[in-house]
Amino acid sequence: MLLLQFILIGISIGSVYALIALGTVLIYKATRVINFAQGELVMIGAFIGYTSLVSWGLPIFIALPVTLLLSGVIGYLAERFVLRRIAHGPLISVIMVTLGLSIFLKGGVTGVWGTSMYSFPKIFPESTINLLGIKLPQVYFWSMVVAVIIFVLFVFFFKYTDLGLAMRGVADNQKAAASLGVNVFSVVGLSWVFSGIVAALGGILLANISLLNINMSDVGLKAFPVVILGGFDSLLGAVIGGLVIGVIESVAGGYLATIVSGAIDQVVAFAILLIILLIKPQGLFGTKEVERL
Amino acid sequence: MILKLDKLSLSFGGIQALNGVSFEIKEGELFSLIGPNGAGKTSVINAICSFYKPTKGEIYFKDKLLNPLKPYNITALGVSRTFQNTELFAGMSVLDNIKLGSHNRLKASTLSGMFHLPWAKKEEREEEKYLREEILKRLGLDEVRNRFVGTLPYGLQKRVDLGRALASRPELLILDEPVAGMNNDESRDMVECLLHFKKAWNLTILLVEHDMEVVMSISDRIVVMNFGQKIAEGTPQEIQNNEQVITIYLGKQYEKDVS
Repeated sequence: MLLLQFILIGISIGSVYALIALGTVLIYKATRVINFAQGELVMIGAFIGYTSLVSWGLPIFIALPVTLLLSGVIGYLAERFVLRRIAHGPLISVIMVTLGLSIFLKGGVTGVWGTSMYSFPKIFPESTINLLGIKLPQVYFWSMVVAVIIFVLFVFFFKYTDLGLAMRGVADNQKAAASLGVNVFSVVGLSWVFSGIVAALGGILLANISLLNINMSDVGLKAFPVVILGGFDSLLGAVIGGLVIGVIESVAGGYLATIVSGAIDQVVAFAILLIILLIKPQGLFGTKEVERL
Repeated sequence: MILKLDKLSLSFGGIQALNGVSFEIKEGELFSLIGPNGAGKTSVINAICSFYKPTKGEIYFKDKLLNPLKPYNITALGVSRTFQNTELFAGMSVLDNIKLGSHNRLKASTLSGMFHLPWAKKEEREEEKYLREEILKRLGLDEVRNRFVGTLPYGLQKRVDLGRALASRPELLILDEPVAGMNNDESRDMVECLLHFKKAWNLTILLVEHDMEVVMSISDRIVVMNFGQKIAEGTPQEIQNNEQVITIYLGKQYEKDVS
């Protein structure tokens, strides 16, 4: 019973990881850029949510769309005024720019909100929900639901829409996409907007589970074991990777933390990361580059 | 006159890739551009498609100036191209590659497509039927339509590249070495396909090709380039008899073969 509880909590936290990883995958799919500022987008999303709920006193059904909109705008601005300027530079420079962006964003948040702890207003009922005989706080349950909905929306978007097809085309070959009439910069901008929105959702859920603080951006680092496990270009991989990492963390934290002192759950994800890289460098669901002779 | 290049020059740093190139293509014509490697043929194509901005000179498509346009504006006007190295979407299926070629044509909004609303679905189904009947079957690609392009043999990839360019329903089709690297049979099939589409769709074709047999047999007119300049223009007959062309490009061997 205890194990089941750890697993369910792991799946819930893992759903949040999955959302954050989805944002990373979206940007990678469209541009081949690994975004090191994803954690900052998560944190900013949570802070904007906090501000619109508490400082502006908006009801949740208005605060949520406002937060998602503003977070999407921040994602777009990051692409439009930072990434686009170096779009044709060497890939490693572009990735370094995202690292700079993360420092810039973190500094901006410190300037506006400071470094203290905020208690995020509870947007889900405090009661628990009974799942498979386990009493689970509502926020954990809703995290799973949100992750599933977002994943399904993206699958439909990429599979059935013209714009989704164009985005896959841009990810695959920007030159060819442009010659077929795809406005590559708009599509890339849009992927950053989506990424900002998904990050904000993750941030709001995370702030409801724990406290809101500038260090929330560290969760962005968790996206790396997740996407490396799932493969950088696979949406499904991001979700499964998120769930697996979440469950392993939760179970390891539950059982091992009593044996080995310290925060074993913080380390275990990265230990897995190292092992995966040794065995399957392209991730479990990623596309393997095939050399044709 | 469907396409007009007026004293087009293009330079990258100190390198003069094109130097005052002018020619006009008439509607319905099969117009070939030939010349040795590095003569600037692909640069001409890239300038027409706005990938390169000319340093001097103008390009007109049906009296519309193309110079200020972005690459993604060109397709909507009715110009599409294939690539020398088949720049395909290797990780996508053949059908998706072709569909992306026709993506400008769908009217339904993204949301209605995403949620399978009836009108979006109907439109997509009709478009898919058209693409399969008119393009994939003609090119012999219908059986492999769900395969990833990256796994197909080279000859088929060249056909996907052509199919994708056709999917946007161009008036001017620009082909960058469509039969390069093909054996005789594949090359003949490809040429047959090209001539079919040219006739059935009333296409104007700008062809860049090294295979002289193909060029001489199907072209209406030919421009010869060397070192970024136009050195000759005329019918295949005139080009074959042009002294300058023979020495610079075709070589003495070809002269012997022809006679």
